[in-house]
Amino acid sequence: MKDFFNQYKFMGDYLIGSTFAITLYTYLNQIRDQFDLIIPIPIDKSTWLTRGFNQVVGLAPKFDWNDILVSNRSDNQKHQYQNSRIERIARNNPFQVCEESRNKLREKSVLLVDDIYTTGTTLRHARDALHKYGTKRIESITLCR
Amino acid sequence: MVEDDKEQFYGREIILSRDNHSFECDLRPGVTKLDNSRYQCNRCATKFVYQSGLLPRNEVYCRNCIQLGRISSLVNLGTIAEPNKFKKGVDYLAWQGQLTNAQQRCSRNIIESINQQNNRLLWAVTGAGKTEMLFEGVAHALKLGHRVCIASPRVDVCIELFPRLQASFPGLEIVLLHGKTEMKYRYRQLTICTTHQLLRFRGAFDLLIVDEVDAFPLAGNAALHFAIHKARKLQGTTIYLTATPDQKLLNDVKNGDLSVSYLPRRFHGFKLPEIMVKLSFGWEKKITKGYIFPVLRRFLQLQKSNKRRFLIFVPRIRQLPLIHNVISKKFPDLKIEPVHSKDPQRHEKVQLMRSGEVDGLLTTTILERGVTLPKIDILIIGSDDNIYSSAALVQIAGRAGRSKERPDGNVWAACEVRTKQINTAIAQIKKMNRMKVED
Repeated sequence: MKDFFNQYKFMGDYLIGSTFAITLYTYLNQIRDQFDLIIPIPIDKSTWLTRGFNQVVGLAPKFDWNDILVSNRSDNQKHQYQNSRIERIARNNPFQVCEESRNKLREKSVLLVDDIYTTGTTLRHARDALHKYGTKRIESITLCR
Repeated sequence: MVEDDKEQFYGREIILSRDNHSFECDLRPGVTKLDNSRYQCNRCATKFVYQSGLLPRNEVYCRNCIQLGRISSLVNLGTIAEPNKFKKGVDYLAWQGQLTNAQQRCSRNIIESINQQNNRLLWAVTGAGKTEMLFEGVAHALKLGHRVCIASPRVDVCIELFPRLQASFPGLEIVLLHGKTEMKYRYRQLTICTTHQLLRFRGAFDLLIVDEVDAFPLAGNAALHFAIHKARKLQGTTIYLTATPDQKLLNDVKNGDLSVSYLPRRFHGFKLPEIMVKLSFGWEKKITKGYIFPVLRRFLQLQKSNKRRFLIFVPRIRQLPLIHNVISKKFPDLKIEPVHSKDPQRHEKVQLMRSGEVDGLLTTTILERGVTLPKIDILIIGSDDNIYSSAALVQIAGRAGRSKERPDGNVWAACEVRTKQINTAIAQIKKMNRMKVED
């Protein structure tokens, strides 16, 4: 798994992300009707310019994601994987809900999807960002931890 | 811009983000669009269709050279033309050894090629002392202020070359680059690297020496051949070294694109050991069942009674433990170690063999070339397997008899049929042995 993420996420070999596509795609479709929104953890602008893909979406590119979170990591801030455990937990919340979706969240149940779970801070931040707009229920799945 | 940062760009191709224009260097896009569906990577020249390298938002990337850092349409490649900022006229060579007449002739040929800026094939048999023949040529080029690179497709060869060159050119800083090294790239007059690392250079070297040109992974790899072409300056010299040139090189020689120097004799002047074919039916079945087969038994008995060390070549990694078990069962007092490419301890094990702590190594083709172990005998199990090309067999046979004290050695090829490759290898060795040494 470590080798997989090394090649996929850090070397940027986008195509091998589809290794888990069938499993993840079928699974997400099975639980689709239990949730109103299925949201991938977003990547920020500078990652789009270097990595060029969202590593969560890339695990099941054909799935109909509700891509409503945005990340605003400023350029001099480190990636979450570059932080130590303490730094990770202390970090400011980089996530925001994009403006046109803010009023759609009231009383909704939401599923957050991420690739790796380490301290859970990323997911907690995403939850906090969503919670502000009155969601009813937030759950999460990750590919590995 | 700081001088140190700038040095990184001399004759190199550095990956920069597409909107980074802060460096004063020549920028080229990472990927060029050829037509509607095809793209070409500008580092390794591999052409690919967009399906095999598509990123979201209509960006593409090259999967072929991704190990060296991804090239995509999101990046530019930055280069600063090689300025040759080296001291001229310094003689770094401290090597005191003596070349044979034949070696001297080749050595002079190399210097001629450097002066005339043409390419040359140095066709020298295994164990001819190729590295020593290079020293004067390298020293000559360094004196002229040239930037020099010695590249090989084999990591092991690079690792072995580095200390030898460091010892022969003590005043010179050398940089060694390969996929497993911790050493960081620095701008130096002499570079030793794998052919993969050459992909990171552009127009850097005046003298590029490619050792073992016919070896995997360089053989038949278009991207790496492109790298050799690209890493050298337009005006310069490329020297190819091998004991077993492939058809492409021989054709270039025939067409006059490449000059050639032959060295049909080893440095100690003795002939090459010839391959002896030993027919051995059903050996694989026997070892799978845990039995030894006659050829292997006879070979080991001979080694034991003569107290000689040996290499046993095996075609597949999965056969290593089987044969290892059989041998340790039947010959418990022989110390042997299995070695293969995925073995993290392979360098240590070869070192054990060198220091005489083990009697023999059981190996796949990774020890086929570039390693010098004195006074050994060879057994090639399954030599009719198609993993052994005739070049590989010549190279393996060339491991034997490399020292002056014992210039001969047995080379046994155990097989079920005599393949074309075996016959060609035998014929090639015989031909080299017949060739007259012209001085």
